[in-house]
Amino acid sequence: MLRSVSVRPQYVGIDLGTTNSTAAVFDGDKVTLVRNAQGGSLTPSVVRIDARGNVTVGDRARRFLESDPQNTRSELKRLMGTAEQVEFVAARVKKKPEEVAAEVLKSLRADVKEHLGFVPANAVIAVPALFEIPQSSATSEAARLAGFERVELIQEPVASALAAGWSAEDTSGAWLVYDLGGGTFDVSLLETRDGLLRVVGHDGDNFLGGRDFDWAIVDHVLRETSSAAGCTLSRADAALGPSLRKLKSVVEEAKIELTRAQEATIILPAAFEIGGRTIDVDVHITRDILNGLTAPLVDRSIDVCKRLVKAHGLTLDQIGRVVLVGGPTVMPGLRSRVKEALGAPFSEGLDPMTLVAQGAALYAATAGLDARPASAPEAAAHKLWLQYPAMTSDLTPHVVGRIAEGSGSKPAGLGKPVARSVRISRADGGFQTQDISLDGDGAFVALVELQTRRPNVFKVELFDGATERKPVPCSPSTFTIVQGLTIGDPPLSRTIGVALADDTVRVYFERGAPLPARRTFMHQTVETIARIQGQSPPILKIPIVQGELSRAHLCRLVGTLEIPGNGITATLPAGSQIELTLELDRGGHLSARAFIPALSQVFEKVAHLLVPDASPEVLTKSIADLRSRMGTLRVEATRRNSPNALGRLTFVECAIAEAERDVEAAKGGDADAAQKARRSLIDAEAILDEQDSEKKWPELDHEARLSLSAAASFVSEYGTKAEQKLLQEATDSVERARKDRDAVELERQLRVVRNLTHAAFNRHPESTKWLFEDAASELDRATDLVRAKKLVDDGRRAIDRNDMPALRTIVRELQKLMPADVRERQRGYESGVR
Amino acid sequence: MNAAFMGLLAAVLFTKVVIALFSARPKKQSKHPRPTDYRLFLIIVLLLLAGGLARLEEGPFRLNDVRSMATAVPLAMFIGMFVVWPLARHVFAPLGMVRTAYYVGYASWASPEDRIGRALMAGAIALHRKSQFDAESASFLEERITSQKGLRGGGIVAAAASAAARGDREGARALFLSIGQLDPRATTREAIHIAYEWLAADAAGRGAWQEVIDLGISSSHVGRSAWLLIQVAKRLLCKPDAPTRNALLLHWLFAPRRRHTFAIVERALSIEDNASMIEDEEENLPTVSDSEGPLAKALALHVALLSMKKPTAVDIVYTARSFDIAFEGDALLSLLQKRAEVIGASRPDDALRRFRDDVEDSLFHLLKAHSIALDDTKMDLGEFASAAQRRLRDETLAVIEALSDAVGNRAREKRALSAIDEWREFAALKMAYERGMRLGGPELRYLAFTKVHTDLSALAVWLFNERGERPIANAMLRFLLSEAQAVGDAEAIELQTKNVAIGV
Amino acid sequence: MDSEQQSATLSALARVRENAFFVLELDIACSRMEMERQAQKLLAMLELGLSSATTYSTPVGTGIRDADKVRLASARLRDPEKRLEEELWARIAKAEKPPPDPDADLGLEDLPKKPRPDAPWPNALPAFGWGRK
Repeated sequence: MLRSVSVRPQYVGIDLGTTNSTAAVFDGDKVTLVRNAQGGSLTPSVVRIDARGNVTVGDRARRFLESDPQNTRSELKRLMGTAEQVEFVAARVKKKPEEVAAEVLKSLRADVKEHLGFVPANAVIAVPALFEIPQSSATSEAARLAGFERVELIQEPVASALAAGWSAEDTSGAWLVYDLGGGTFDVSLLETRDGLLRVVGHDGDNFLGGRDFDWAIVDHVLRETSSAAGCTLSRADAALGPSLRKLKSVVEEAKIELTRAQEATIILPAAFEIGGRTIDVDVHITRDILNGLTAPLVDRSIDVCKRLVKAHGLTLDQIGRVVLVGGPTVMPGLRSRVKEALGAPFSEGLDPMTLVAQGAALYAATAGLDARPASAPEAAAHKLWLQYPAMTSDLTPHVVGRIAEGSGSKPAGLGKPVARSVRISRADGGFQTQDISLDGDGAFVALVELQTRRPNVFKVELFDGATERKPVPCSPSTFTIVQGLTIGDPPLSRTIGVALADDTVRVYFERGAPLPARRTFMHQTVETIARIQGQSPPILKIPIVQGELSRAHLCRLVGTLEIPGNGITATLPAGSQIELTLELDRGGHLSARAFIPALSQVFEKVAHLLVPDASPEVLTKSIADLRSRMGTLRVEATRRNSPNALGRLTFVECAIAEAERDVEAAKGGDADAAQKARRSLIDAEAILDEQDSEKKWPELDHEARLSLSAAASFVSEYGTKAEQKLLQEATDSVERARKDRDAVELERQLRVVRNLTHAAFNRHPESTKWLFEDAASELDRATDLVRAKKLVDDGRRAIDRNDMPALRTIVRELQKLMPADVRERQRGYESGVR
Repeated sequence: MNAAFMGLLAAVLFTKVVIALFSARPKKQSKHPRPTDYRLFLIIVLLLLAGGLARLEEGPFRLNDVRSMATAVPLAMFIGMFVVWPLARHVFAPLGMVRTAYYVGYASWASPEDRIGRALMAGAIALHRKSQFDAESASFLEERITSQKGLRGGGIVAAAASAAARGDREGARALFLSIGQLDPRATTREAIHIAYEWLAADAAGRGAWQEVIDLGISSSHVGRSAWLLIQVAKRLLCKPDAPTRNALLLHWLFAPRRRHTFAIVERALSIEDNASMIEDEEENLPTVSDSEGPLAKALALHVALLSMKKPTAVDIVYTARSFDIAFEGDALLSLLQKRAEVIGASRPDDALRRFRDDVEDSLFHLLKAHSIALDDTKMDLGEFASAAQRRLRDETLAVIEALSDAVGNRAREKRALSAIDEWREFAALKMAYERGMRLGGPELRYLAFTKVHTDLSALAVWLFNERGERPIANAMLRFLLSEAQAVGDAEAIELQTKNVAIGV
Repeated sequence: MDSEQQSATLSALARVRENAFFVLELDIACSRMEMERQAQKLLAMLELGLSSATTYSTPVGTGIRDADKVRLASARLRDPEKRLEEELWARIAKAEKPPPDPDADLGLEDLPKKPRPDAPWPNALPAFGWGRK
């Protein structure tokens, strides 16, 4: 890291919000908010492209949101990482969400240039903690399109915590950052000790935000207006789209008004037109009504907080304070409800609207991401490579340096040393190192002392001889370290792994793993991938998923590494080894590399997936399926009298009801609501799966007991010694599996037990006769009755002459004529055999 | 006299032709075409050859003489049958001429039931004789191997040799080994000898001399090259049945490539007759005192175990038992609780659980790395070793089940692969199965067999009945029969005995 | 040993060889600040390619240190729950050496060792015409 220190380093942080975006700059001393052209620190995340292709961003674009919605777009953040195209009708252009977001970032970058006097090359952008890989990746792409050379992402709650930690005097203990943005809710549990900030964990809801509060009020207004006008107004009605947008805007204003006043009136003349009749909106709303409407949403956020605290072995009374972040947190109803539920005091004096951007700028400092463009080194000076923490809580950090060789692209190595010693002194004269000898590599390691809570500028001096101490010019000759907070690498918000053939997940990076991260595992193929040159070769897919659930299909598919049959040099047989390496950088970019030792080939192309489409039709069908499954499970749970299961199912029922409402909204063109419904349905499915296996367990357990008892009698009498020993081992394993409630293992062991019983049963002198009689009793179910009757007659004659080999053949033939379930029952030696 | 002899010969051959014509006529239209019967053709060629030879007695060849030409044609055929194959195998293949070896081998009429397989085999051998790996020639051969129908030993050996040429030793090993599964009628002795030669040389290259010995018990079965290496291995390992120096020299004289093999023979000859084996330097677990507590002791043993080249089952169990002791009582938990207070952790019990899982995981990987199966009938395994052994068994079984599932599902859904790829899949499943047998004992064999029997039967029946791949289908059924016998599944034995008896 | 076995060997070794205290060369009683300082120093040294930072010793041999390992190790030690577990793995007692080889007194171990007769024969495959030497 080569730094010129002619001016102080500058660090840029950006909060690319759903509703508003903010940029902040940290100069090592204080954090400053960047003002936009209108003089505000909040730039609305709204983009307008007119018929001539002119792009307008921010307040000027926001003015057109209601009057010209077809060419003015907002809330782009919620579409990041989806395939949704954003259309600007007049200009006849369709853009990806990240391309539109890039316009907002360009605008912020221009504001920062005005503020600093140079175009920032690097920045840190805050993203919601629960952003998945495609969303993070799209954000990085937007920054790249906006012209940033290097960008790192930080989770919003970590940024808020950094900003809160930087401002607070006493920061020891555990605290929560409650971040309710326009579209997402994040809560983080943090701990600070001696200036060392640690994110203990976080949780959240990717689809809960201030916007949902607005829609809750809109739904209330629609209900009130419908009953007053005697008609039905619904968000599902696509024809009402433009009117709804207007109404939402008015509702938003009323919501803001209610943070100051006790009541407000929502008036919108001729808001809707139904059957040629215009309908006015005139609804009076009080703070109590607002609190009532938003209470379920606030409670949902509180539940997430409680879940997080509990997951980390803490209780609510151990939380020292709560930092509120995000516009909706200024609502008095929300504040009182959250305070009551969590018990801890709120941090005062922090601006919830800009805290994230401030924290992002501070993080840029801890990551050493100086926004200044790289400067040319001073002529005739020896280049010095320096490594030091740009910001640290440590009062005595290390500084490591090495003299660069020639062009400076490589560290110095062999050859005549250009200097023999180094000395570092603090600019205020309060600290100076001894002369430190350079080692054979031209390198040194020094400890320096910092003054607290301020930028510390140091001067570096090189000397060419141990005795004469002749100075050697070097570049850089100064560097700055800010004493403040230390924060570790940004933690991964959701576990990332590879989906395996048996629907399990091999975890590569656990939630909380530091980024960047890289890990390698060995896998085995389960199917042969033939080398085929052609249009549709077989493809070996390695799906990469993100999520905490153990079953792969319940996690989100975020990328797929494909090995096509036409790309391999030879056929890849089943069971072949594949060495897979996953790598994730701080910008949310995921890469994968598969090495196939048998072919000495490497595959690296990962198909990055988008957030899957969620069409209302597909969602409606999913809801119907889940409802049907839930009905069956409810009957079962009632029969078993299991209050726990019933409770879980009620939870699912609520989730499905909410998803239904979202699907209705999706039908009205709200793509975001569709995504929200999709996620809720995945969660509901996971709970139903869990309930399904709960339900099956007693049946399996019962079957295990029956099978063991049948096996014990047959194998003890007719089994060989080896079989008896095997049965004993299998019985032990069955008991272990029952104790651990391991269904897969239990089914496996039951297979052994059945086979042993089967073998022993066959040795019983009467076994063939029993099987014959059993098959004969099912005669009416035979697929070919005439042939079956003849076989039964032949069988009777074989019994009469005691011809057991012939009878065995007849039994086999008879069994072939039986429907599958009958055959299965006989193979399994369940009831009905004797 | 010559004319009389030729006349007699012609009469005998004529009679044979008549008999052959009648006996070759099919009695009943079979559902599956039988391999072409070349006997009649052979006899006609011999007849013409005899006639031609008789003509030779009468004077020199002339191009414009019909009788002279009638002599030349059968002579060419004779050459085709008895000279062309040696030309491909022993001239063009050693010269590294892949395509020539293949085409000349293909032109040979010898061993007509696996003509393509033999040609591919000659080409694959040639691939190894090139100074550098020739990807183009390899692709040339592999395309033909993949498109071959009615796969037999030759094609399999060619595929194995091709994999070896690409550097895929493990894949090649699996395919060469799979030759042993074929019915003798489905392969040639030459293919078997080539396979054993490679397997023996591969094992010798890895220093796995016992593996070399285990390859065979007779030279006629494994071929002269492999047999030489087996004798060498016996001397190197000082086996009681090792050949004497003179006997080994005789084996060497009879084996091919004497100049190249002399180095290893010389090494074997340097060992005295009746010498005894130099034992490996004994690796022992170190002595660790209890002074630093049972956990420190267990970890020290664990570290020593990790450093051993060949730990035994006893070493692993001893270490695992020391962990059992370390985990007894509440000592570890209270240690963690004290430390948790100091560093601000809130869940020491979770840390202990994760540590337990990690110890088990580490022991499991050790068992897997050294292919060690623990036998609870011979020693008391304790908790950790039992858990590691169970996990090894479960994982092994899961691999077999996944491979078996893939085979079964494909067969049921009729998703066909080329014959050689079907065979590769079978070879992979068989290898996984056999590895499972070594690690999991009889219980795993029982579990795995039930699954594999269902899935592999589906594949074999499909290959046999509908796709005409009888030799490889028969081999799969033979494998199932031998396994059914091993686990004593009477029903499967009866079924597969009948299936195998249908032949190739 | 096939590739799967090699991979298993590495997995078995990982708990000790990748232990955070060994990677950072810290004592289990170190403070959080000492850990941060050490990690920062090592990362800086690695970034500048100082050879003294590229290896570390463990009870199972020398480990190769890179920036990823250092970051992962410090992340584990920052988290007190994970640190507890790392501490357990680092509490290894010193093993007493196995009894010395009687030949060792004679200095025989310094003599060049004669290769064992059953050593691998690396040229086996080329000798039979399979591949190149």
